[in-house]
Amino acid sequence: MKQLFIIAALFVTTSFTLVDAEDNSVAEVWFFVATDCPIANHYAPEINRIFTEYSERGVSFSLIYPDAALTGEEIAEHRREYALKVEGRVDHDHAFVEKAGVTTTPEVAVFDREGSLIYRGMIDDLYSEFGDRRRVASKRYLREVLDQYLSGKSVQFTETDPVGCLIESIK
Amino acid sequence: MKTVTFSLLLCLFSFPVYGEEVTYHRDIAPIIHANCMSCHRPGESAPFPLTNYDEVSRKAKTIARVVDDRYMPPWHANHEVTAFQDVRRLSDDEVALISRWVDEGKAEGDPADSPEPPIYTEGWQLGQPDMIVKMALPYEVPADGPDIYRNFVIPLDLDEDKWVKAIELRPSARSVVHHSLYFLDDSGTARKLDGQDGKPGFRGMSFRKSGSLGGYVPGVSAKKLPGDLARPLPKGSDLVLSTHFHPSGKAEVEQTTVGIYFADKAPSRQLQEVQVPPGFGRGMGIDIPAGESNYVVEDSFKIPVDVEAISVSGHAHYICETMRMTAKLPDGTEKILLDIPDWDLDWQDTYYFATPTFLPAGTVVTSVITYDNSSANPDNPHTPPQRIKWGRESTDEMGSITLIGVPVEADDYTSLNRSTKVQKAKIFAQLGKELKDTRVLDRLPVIIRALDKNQDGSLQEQELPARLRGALLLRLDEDGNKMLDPSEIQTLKDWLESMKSGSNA
Repeated sequence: MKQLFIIAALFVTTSFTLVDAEDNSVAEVWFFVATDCPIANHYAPEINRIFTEYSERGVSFSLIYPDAALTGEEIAEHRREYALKVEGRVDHDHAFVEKAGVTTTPEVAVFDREGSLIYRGMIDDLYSEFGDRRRVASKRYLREVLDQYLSGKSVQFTETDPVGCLIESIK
Repeated sequence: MKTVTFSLLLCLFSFPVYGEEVTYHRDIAPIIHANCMSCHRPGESAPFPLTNYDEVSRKAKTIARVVDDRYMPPWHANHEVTAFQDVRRLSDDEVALISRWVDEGKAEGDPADSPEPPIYTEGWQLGQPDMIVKMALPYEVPADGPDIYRNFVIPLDLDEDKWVKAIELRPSARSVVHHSLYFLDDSGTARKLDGQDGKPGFRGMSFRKSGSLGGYVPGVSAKKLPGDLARPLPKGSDLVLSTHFHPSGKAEVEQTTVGIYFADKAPSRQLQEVQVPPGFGRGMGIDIPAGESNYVVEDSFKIPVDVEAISVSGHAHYICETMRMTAKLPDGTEKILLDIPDWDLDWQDTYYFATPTFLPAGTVVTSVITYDNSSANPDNPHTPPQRIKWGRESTDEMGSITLIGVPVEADDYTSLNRSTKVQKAKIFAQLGKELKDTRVLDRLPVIIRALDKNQDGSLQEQELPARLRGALLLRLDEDGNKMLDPSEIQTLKDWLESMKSGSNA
C-alpha cells in the first residue's frame, strides 16, 4: 500500500514538473570546456551521450567556452573536430563562470527549473588527478543528479572537485 | 667546484630579488624554453603550444598547478639519488617562481630580457635515416574508452645482420600515441598474431621478444648510443612496435613511420641486458590478493664481471606503486641505480646515467617493486579490487627493472651473457618444485620427444600431460599460443643444462 502511494506520488510529481515547464526545459546543464584542454576533449563522446539521452527527457544543454580570446569560428571548428552535438558559446566576460562558480574545464553546472544551482563539479570520476584516469568511471555524478531530479525527488545542492585545466581570470 | 660556484652565481643573477616583479620574458621564458617547448610546440605531442607570452599566459594557472603537482614536466625517477641525463624536472625555486608570476598577475615584461627560444630541427632529428619503414596499414583509435596497448609488426627483410645506433619514431597522430617500445621478433610469432582479430596488429602487452631497440616517449628526442655502442639487429628479424594509445575524444588514425640509423660496424663491446627479476617477473609467483596495499616483489642478481651500466628502465602495469634498484658493491658500498617513488605506467622511460656507472665483478643488484591492490589506489583497474596475478594483459601485473650495460673487457661478454641465461632459468624454479621428482627433470628431453605425437617439434596443448599442462603452459608458453614451440622447449632445455651443471638456478 505504501509502495503504491510512493509510485503514485512520483507519477504526479513528474507529470506536474513536465507540464509546468514553460520553456519546455526542466533543467539546464552548462558544460564548461576548452578547445585545447585534453581532459575536456576526452569527454566529448560522453558529453554527446548525455546530451542525446537527457535532452529527450527535457534537459537543455550548452557548451560554455570561458576563453575571451576565442572566436565563434574557432568554437564551430572545435565542435566539428570533436563531433560535439551541443551548442557552444563564448563566455567573454565570465558571466557564466561567475553565475556557476566554476574554476575548471571540464566542469559542469546544473540548474533546476527555477534556475537554482543543484550541482557543480565533475561529469564523472574518470580522472582522480592529472594523469590518473580510471579505465571506466565508477561514479557518474552528472547522470546521477539528473536522474534524481527527473525522478521528481527533491535535490539538494551538491558539488565535487573537478580535475582539469584551470580557467584563466579575465583582465 | 668551479661548476658549483658558477651555478650559484647564475642563480643569484637569474632569480628576481624578493619584492621585484616577476616577468615572463626575464624569468619565465627561460624555464619554458628549457623544459616545456620541446613537446609544447606545433606538430609535437603536447595538447597546446607554449612558445610565446600569449600562449603561456592563456594556460598560466594550469601550468602553475601541474608543475606544482610534478605532473609536468613528466619525470618519475628520483634524480637526487641517481644522476641521469636529460632530467626533465623543475627545481623547487622554478616552481615557486611560476606560482609567483601567476599570483602577481602574469606580467609580460620587456621582450628584450627574453633569451632566444630554442631552434628545432624540422623533419628527422638525426638526419636522413639509413632505413625508413612504415606500418603497412593504418590503425583506427576510437574517440574514447580505456587506453589501448597494441603491437604492430613491420617486416624489415634484412638479408644481413645490422647494428642499430638509434631509432626515430614519427607517429601520424601524435595526440593519441602515448609511447612506443621497439622490439624484435625472429620467430615469426608476431607475424602470425598480426591481424587475427580483424584489425592491424595484435593486442596485449607482451609476446616472445628476440631483442629490443629501445623506445619512444614524448619529450625525449631520439639520440644515438654513445661511443661505438649499437644494438644488434639480426637478419630476418621483424620490428614490433608496442604502442600505447590514449584515446583523445575524437577518432584518430595512426600509421607510424620509423627511421633506423645503423652503425658502420659491429661495436667493440656488446650491450647486455640484465633484467631483475627476469622475464618481467614471470617466475616470481606474483599473486596479489584483492585489497592488499603493500605487496612486495624482490629479487637479486650477482654480476660476474666488471660492467659499465648505461641505462635503467622499469616495467610494471597499473597497480605498481614504487620501484627501486640498488647495487651493493663488493666493498660494501651501495648505489641507488633507480628509485621511482610513484610509478606511472604512462611514463615508462629509459633513464640514461649521466656517466656510465661502474659496477665491479661481484656487485649484487637488487630490485624491490611494490604494489597497491586496494581500492584506495585510483590506478586500480578493478572496482572493487580483484586478485591480480602475473600476466600479459594490462590488467594483470608484471614487475622488473632492466639494467643495460657493457662489460669493461669485451671478452667478458660471454660470461655475462651466460649468467643472465642461468638467471632467467630461475623462472622455472617454481616449476621444478611442482615437478618435485628430479629424475623426471633428467628424463624430460626424452619425455618431450615421446609427448610430441605428431612429431612437429612443438608440443600442442593436447600433447601435454593433463597433470602438468597448466604449470607447463604458465611457465613456458611465452607467446600465449597454448603450445610450446621449439624456442620455448629450448628455454626448458637450457634450464635443465644449468641445473645439471650445478649452477645456482
